[in-house]
Amino acid sequence: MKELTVWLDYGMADFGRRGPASGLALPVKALDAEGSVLSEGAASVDLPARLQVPDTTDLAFVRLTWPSGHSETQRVDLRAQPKPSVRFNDSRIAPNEWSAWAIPKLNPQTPLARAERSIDLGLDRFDKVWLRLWRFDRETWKKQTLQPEQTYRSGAAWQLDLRLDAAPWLLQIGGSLVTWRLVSLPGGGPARVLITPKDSNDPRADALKVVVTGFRADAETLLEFLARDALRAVDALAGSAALAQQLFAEKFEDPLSAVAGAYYLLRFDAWDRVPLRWFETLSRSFEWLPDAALVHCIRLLREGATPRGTSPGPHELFAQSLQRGWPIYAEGVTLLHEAAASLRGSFARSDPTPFERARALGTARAWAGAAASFYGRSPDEPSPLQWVGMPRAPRRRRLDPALMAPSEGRSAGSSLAFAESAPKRRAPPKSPNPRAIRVPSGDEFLLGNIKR
Amino acid sequence: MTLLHDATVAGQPGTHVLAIGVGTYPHLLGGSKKLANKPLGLKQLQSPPVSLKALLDWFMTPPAANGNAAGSFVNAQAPLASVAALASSDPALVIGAPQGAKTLDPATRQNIQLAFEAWLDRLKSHPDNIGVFYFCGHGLEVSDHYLLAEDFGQSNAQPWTQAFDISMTMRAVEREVAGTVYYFIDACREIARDVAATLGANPASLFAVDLNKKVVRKSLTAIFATGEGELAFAPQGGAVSRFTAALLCAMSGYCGIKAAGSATWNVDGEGIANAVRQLMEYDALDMAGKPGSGLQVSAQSIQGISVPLLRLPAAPKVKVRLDLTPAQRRALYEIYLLSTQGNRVAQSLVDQVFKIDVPRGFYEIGATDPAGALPAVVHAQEELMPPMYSLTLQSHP
Repeated sequence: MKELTVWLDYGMADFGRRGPASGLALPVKALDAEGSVLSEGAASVDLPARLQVPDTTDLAFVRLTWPSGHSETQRVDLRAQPKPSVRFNDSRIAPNEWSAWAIPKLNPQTPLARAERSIDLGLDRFDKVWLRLWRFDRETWKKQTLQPEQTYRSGAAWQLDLRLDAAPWLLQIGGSLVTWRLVSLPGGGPARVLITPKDSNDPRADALKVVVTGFRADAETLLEFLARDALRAVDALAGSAALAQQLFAEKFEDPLSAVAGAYYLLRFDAWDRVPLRWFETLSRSFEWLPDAALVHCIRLLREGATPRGTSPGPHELFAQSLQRGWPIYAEGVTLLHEAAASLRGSFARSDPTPFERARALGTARAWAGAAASFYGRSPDEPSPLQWVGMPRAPRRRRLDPALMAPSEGRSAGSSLAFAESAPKRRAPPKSPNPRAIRVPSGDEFLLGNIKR
Repeated sequence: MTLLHDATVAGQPGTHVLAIGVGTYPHLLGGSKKLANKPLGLKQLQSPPVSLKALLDWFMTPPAANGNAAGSFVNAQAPLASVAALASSDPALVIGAPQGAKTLDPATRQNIQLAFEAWLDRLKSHPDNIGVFYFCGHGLEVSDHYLLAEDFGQSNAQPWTQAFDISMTMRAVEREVAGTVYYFIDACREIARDVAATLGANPASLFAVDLNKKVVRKSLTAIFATGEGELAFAPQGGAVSRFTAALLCAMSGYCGIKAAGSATWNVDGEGIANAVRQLMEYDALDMAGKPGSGLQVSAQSIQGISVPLLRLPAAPKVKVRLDLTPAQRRALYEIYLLSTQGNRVAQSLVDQVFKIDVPRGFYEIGATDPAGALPAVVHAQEELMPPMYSLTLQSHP
């Protein structure tokens, strides 16, 4: 076999400074001219990938893949070099060093990826978009003053650097043209949020995209791929089972990375590769972390019959997870819903509230890559109903056409119950909610507050 | 249930298909029977029987008859073992089967239940079996996906008894079946999620989840068509739905990975999901501005290890779409592709987008002016990955 070394020179995309965990790693593949895979692995900023290809290989193509799906391919003539190697660097992307980290997570067509300093996406139109920060404390979401340590702004994006203690956190965003949405932030250290106008034609996309990092490059990259069901890429990340076990083993250093490892193991049905007590220790030792109780719950559910006397059991763990707040990661929202649906029968007999809360979150789900995100007017009320406007003057973003136009269904007596009343006729988008009290919005953090 | 094909060999793994298409809903708008008290604005559908037939024809046409292995079901490790189907259409749907033409039984809730249980029993017969469950008809999504049988609306007292929860069904099956299951759910949401959430829908699943059993399935892939509104379903006039068309195209040689050491190009859930999504985007590109156009999207859920649905002998193809700007120069250029093996294809001096299918691989793509007056445009190394590749070449002055 021949060895082909793949280097990842991603200085800027690796946050520009080192975070608490290992540096950024991305999956790489060596392919032949037909596109067959010769070898695959992961290259990180700390360690190159060493791919073994057959001795008969003269020409290979090395492909690097981002979580967004973007790929870069380089051709390698293995005859020409005694020690063939390939280098991928990020020098051509993101003239703004501060936003480079987010580019691998954004749509491949994102303007941020262009090496142009003059990009102008008209961010002024979003100056009145507001942000709110929420922290979960003693089973209640409490609004916090948003005071970023640092902010950045270019013609294409805003960015905020925060420092968050060990608790569940949510960033809420909204505006006249921006549907109210909440995005989970990783507590227990520094966090960075990048906001940029939407960059895809997907009809489900929100007006503003929110990308989050807690500076856990390896764990977050794994979760970003998981969120997109890019399971081959997940598997290639340095033999992901080994990575996942390593993340899990280091739970006391970084519980959020441990949770990422657990999510991998659950997705790939490899949850029995680590002792059950690891899950138990994680959920017991980090009572502030909803995902810790959740992965433990799912682990028990996947295994089937829980031995008598096992405590806590799946029901208790499910309830614990909800008592700790909403999952930090999108994978957790999926699993919370799985747990709720699986345990639904027992909840109906006692108190259906936990099931209904989890179901509401699943119904209100939004997209923010690996971070959990949902629509709603407040952290306590995930809802698929979409709201826009200033915080104290919310209005419905859209009304279902079937409700407004006369139709056979309506005349034949169809009726659709609503949690919130719908107007009888099409209302202009700017009609205020008549029950809202208009107050000056001077106390809100606005994107316009962030200057270049 | 109508069993169209049964080649199950005891003790050997196989692929078992259950396909359901519901176009006629007698108790919904335009139906032939008593209208439900709450028809939810739902009407009769033209596409599902057509889509179902296309899918069944695809599965049941052997590669030899097709002359093209990539256009048929091919999996030597889990060959096609059984195909069962239900269809609600007017007139009833007749499918050609090895034993002769068969009229499909209607997709009532009870028939779906019986067909599903029979299919599940077949799946359980070997740990390496692969199951394919396909549904095309009305559905709605809250946090789970609910699908409507033909007789939905028959009971006003219990409106949801003629529907079923496919999401919970999947959760149940993964504790019953050790093999692999693929779910293709072509049920566009004509009821928006925020409205669906208020309906109090609570249909039962086709199988109850037994939490005392361990999750044993190897792999699960579920791909959903998630467009909103009737127009997202299909081109007008009773054609194959966009989602099903994309699915069949993807499986017909427009996706596949050949891993190191593998003898075949394997098509698994991730590959199919990516291909379906991209093919629908491509379709939207071609349909832009035409009646019934609009971006249709899909969603997927993939769990477990990769177990291919198809194992193909040849490299997958790529639908290539090459354009050149400014448009007035198109007819002045020859647009070409040159593979690393030296194979060249071109479109010369034609004022249209160059569309062609080529095998996946690495190509030089360019445009040259035979007259030599205009600058050449060259992209020296482009990786053409299935299912599609689109590039606009730019001829600068």
